[in-house]
Amino acid sequence: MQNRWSALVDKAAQVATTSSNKLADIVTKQTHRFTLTGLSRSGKSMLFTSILTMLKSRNDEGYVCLPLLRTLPPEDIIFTRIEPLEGFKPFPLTLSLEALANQAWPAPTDEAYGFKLIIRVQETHSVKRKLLPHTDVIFEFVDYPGEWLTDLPMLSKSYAQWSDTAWAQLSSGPQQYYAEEWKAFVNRFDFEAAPTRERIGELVECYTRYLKVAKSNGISMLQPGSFLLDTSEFDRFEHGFAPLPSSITSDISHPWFEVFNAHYQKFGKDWLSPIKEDVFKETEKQIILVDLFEGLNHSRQHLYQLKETLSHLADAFVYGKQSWFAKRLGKSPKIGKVAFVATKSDLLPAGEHDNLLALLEQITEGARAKFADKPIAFEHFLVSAIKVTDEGSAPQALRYQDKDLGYVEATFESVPTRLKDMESDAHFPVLNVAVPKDFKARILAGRGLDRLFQYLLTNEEQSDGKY
Amino acid sequence: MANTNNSDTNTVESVPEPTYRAKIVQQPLDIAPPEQALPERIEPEQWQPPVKKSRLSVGLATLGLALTTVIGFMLFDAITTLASNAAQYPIITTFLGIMLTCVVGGLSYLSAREYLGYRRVNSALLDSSDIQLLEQQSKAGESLDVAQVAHVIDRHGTHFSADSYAAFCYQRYLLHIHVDMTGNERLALYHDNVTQKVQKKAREVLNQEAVTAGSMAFISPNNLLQTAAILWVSFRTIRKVAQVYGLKPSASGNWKLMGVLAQNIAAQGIVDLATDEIMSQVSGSLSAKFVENAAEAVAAGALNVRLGKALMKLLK
Repeated sequence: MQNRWSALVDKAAQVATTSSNKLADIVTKQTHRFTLTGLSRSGKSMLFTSILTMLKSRNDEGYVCLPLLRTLPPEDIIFTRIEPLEGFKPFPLTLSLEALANQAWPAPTDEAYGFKLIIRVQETHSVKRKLLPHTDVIFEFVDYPGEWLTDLPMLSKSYAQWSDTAWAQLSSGPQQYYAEEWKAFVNRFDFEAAPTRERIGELVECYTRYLKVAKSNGISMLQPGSFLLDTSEFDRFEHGFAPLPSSITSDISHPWFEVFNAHYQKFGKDWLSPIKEDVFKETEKQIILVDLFEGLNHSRQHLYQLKETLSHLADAFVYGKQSWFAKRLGKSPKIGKVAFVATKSDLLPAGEHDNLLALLEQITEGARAKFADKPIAFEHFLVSAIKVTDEGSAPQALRYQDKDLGYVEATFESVPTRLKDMESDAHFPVLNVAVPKDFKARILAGRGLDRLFQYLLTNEEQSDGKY
Repeated sequence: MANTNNSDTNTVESVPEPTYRAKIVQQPLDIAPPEQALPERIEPEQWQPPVKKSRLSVGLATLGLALTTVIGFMLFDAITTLASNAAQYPIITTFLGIMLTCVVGGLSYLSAREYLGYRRVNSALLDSSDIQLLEQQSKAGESLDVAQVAHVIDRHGTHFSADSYAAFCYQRYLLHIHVDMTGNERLALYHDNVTQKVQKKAREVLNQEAVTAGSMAFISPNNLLQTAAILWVSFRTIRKVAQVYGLKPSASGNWKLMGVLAQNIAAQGIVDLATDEIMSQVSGSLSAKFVENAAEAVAAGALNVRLGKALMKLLK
């Protein structure tokens, strides 16, 4: 009798535990989908690789990292799991880590990848724990080629508008030097001749050549960025287009205008719109990655252009604050929290970080102006996904291993805090850093990711920043 | 067809290749790069209050004596009406009298030792008020000076006794510190890794001690022993909680705690009176005695928690 009774009690306890676990599975899910906005080479893939490595090392192996991620204290984490994100290829984490192990940087992203990071956090409150023993914090990340991002503003422009703008851009600023060949080609080109497939191909090919040269020289505002990717599914040879002189775009009956206009429409409808729909789904939180070193590496003009590019990109997203009801009713979310992040901050001595942050704040002025009249929370961060430099012999110096595997000390002049303070004929050449052999330790020594995710995960109503 | 003389491009003059002066001076070094060490690893928490063998043996001996006394009294009750027939059974009465004296003596010794231990005033308590002040400033959105925060925290951390849980947490906190952290971030880390964890551990210790207090009250055969046992458990609670915090309560704190302790003993006395009265109304059976002791045990546990909470408030 006693055995039966205790078996019954055990069974009841088991059912209660299972039920509460299942209830917790359903009720206590917190999904955070981030729009990670970053131009090409801004370090998106490395950031994903780092955050995954850090979380795994912190939770599974007990390494001290991400100390400021107070929302997810390691002792409360039950497990961390990566799952594929529906509709996306899985993020090639293993390939990225293998590349680093072979002392190569992860390959640039040439298509969209997605993954879901599920972190199960145990409930710490003794009473709540009985009913809902855990909370699943789910991060959804999407990685994509930065070139696609540059193209998004094209969706809101007609071909004539885009062509005139692109022509004006390539005729000014630092890119005008790289556009000389293209301009000379257009100058020689016979637009009286019919736009045959071959002639269109010649024109598009020459324009694409300009885009590639300009990109390799640090120009950020290059459209269509999709033409820079050989893996792009859009057939630029069949349906390509290029900016035309205004003498042609002003005449909508011109055969070249007609054909490029048709190709431009197709590009928007069949290529860009589906990308925007699938990859750049609107979310509540946005991380905007900025590689300031791409600008500092070249000139002040490049930095101004970066500022302009970010400003244009902000047009492509919907900002605003949603009510509790709107969220529950499944209305399309609006971005209510933005983090502007300068990546690769370890490429500057620590003493220059305040200046870098000030520079970042100025670079994002245009983008911030887009939501200045809305209650959007934003913050600026410096992040190094992997610490590839060591302290130098002086505060203004740091050391690194270059691609020839020599150990080099670089001494920096002070980085300007304002764009206008940067000399027009000076630049900060980017360090030619090799992937270190001890890459895992250096990923774990990365800085700023904990601060960034703590900011993004904390709701305004969570005063102590904890679940 | 429109005239298309490509006029936009005709006016373009040749643009010179841009050249810039480098603001970085690079110099090859003749040394190999240092290897980055992996960060420290956090092992699962295994901290236990330090136990000294001599204390444990005295404690166990006292407990053993108490149990023996209880059993003795129970046997005495069961076999004969000892209290009213001492003259008739001189040997047994004498034996029980000796046992009782030993128990009271042991408990008195332990209580006196604990009392002397917690009398030691620790100046570190002053620093905790500085930390609380900084936390208030941080909550108010003020940007804290990193050097000031580091100074206050370091000073506080160095006061923890080496074998305390607070010292254990403080060492963990130090592992998390980076040079690029702001004062507010350091303070938040300290809160998460030291203040909050120490409080959680103190609560756990307190719960254990409440059970001990209840058990002692339950098995105590009479009010004198019960009061002595509660006194001992109370001082032990103070010592154990203080061990978690790595601090001893200050002199002013002592008086506050003494006040709470006196109130607890008085309250326990009232509980005793009430349960005695109830028992006399119900019957004199063993089950009634069980009910009486159970009620006193619950009361003793609750009062011990009260004392512990007062201590935690003081040490926080």
